[in-house]
Amino acid sequence: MSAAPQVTLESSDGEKFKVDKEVAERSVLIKNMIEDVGESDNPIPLPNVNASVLKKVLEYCEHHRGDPLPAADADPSNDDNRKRATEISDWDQKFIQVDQEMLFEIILAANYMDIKPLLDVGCKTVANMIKGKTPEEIRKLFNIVNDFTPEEEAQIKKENEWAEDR
Amino acid sequence: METNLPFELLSYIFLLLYTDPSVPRAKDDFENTHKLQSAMTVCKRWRHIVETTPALWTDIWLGHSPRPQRTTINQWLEYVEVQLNRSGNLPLNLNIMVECVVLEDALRVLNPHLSRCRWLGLRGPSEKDADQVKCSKLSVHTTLSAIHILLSSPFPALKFLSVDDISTWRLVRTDNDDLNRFVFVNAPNLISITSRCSALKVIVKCSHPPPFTPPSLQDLSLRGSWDDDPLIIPSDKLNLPNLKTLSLQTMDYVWQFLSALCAPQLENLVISCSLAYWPSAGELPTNISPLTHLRRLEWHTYSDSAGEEPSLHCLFRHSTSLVSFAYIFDADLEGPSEWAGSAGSGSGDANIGAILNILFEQKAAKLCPNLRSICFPSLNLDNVVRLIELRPALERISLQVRKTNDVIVTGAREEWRIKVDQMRWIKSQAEFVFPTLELPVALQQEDDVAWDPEGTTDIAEGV
Repeated sequence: MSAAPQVTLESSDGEKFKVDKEVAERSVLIKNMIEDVGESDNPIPLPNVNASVLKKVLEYCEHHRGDPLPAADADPSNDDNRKRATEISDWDQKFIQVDQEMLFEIILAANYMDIKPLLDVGCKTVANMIKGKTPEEIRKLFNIVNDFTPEEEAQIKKENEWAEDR
Repeated sequence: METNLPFELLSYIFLLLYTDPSVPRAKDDFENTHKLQSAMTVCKRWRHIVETTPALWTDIWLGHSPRPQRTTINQWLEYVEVQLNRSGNLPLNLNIMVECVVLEDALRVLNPHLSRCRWLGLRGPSEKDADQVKCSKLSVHTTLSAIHILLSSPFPALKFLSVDDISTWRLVRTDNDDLNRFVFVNAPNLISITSRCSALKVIVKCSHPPPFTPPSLQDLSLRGSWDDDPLIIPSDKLNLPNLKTLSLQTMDYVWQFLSALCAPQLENLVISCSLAYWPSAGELPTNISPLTHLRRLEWHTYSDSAGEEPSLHCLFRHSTSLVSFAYIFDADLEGPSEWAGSAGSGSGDANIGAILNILFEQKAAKLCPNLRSICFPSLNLDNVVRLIELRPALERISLQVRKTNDVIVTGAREEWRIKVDQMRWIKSQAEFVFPTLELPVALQQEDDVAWDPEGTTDIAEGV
């Protein structure tokens, strides 16, 4: 029995990862690159993803290697292609339990490498972190600076006053 | 986070967080508006992203204000206008609580956007809201007129139309004939119509040419009002080639409607017209189109209804593919006041027996040979056994309630053993579903049958 075909990926910091082609092709970016340039022994460079993030991404791809791929034209803003924020499988929930910096790096990598299911897991996790929090709590959670001037804040408060909770 | 995630990703996160992909929309309050406004106050970037993501603004709710003491209708409409503009050109889900807004004013804002309305809901306030919110003192005439004007607009993108029982609250019938007529909706791409309003017939006078019976229609739910039902009966053949689900409620003229219907793909039929005049076998129409794809028939009734047997027999005859039949006693069916509360409270044994006889007949079994699931208000175990013996295709029998003497057997132990054995046999042959009662632990029990030799246990105590 012949071994499964493999490809080599190279992270932004020069680390090389040899993985099954089937696993690497969970990334639409890589799949298209392989199709465009044909199979080669040269490593595929991923200049936007460092080694620690790529390792995590490949862990996800390995676990989901047999899953059906999402439709190529799936539009995230389309209702039919969007699932509720709370729907994350148990394995994915454990996988994505990382620090905030790594979480955002994974989301960016999934976006760059075009791995839609991983992007969904990351974005849903962030959405769940925001859910139910006040603006002040959100700022604190994500270290966001309130850049509204006092006048702007007063204006916003006035705009929203009529629709405040009963 | 500010510097990390690009605009489109943060926008997508907001979509996951603040929009509801379910249709029809369940949201009927200001929760979402409040959440969006909350997100907009985090920082300038978030505000910009929320404001410029059209998909966040497509659910438009027009009803009472969350703070009626502070909000004028003009403020409200200003906000709706902002929402509409922010939603860009995307399809809209429009929910209007017609008794709480001056529709004529609202129409000025809505009109330019109705052509992209995908879901339209017209409804009255919930009981809770009606108590809490002072609805505008709107004239019935004005409101109905405005609804007519609203619905006379072309709705080329409309897929779902839902009209609740608005008359429950304020829109009692007016004497103005013009307003009691039907409203024809020009929506050639409708997939689903749910009409529960007896004061306002939003569809279907089918003598009118298409698009009032759009071929795209897959789901049609109509509620009549007994006395003026003839008006909703199509005078010509009603061709709905893609109709999958039909629900008829509170109307006398079920058979006239079905006679006019040509829906070869119909899979689900729900009839909830217990007070209807049901024709005798000789009076039944002979020109019914075959319901060759009908798989599920749900018949809602009450315990004292009469004369349903010929109609059900006829439906069985026309539904060769039927796999599921539910004969259900509803507690909340509309009926004369003297019958209020009787639904479900009487035994209804005579009714059940009559329907059961159809299913027991050997020749009738040939009518629906594929019947795999049956739901009845109540059956004794003997009848359940007989059903299974006569209809080997049955896989599931469900009961709304069990006969008391099948729950707790009083008297001789042998009688109890017989019931237990019957239960075991039934469960070995089919899935047997019934509400589980918590029986007194002191009683001996097996397979959901208890034995009370003294006959002193009130079953209600064990519930």
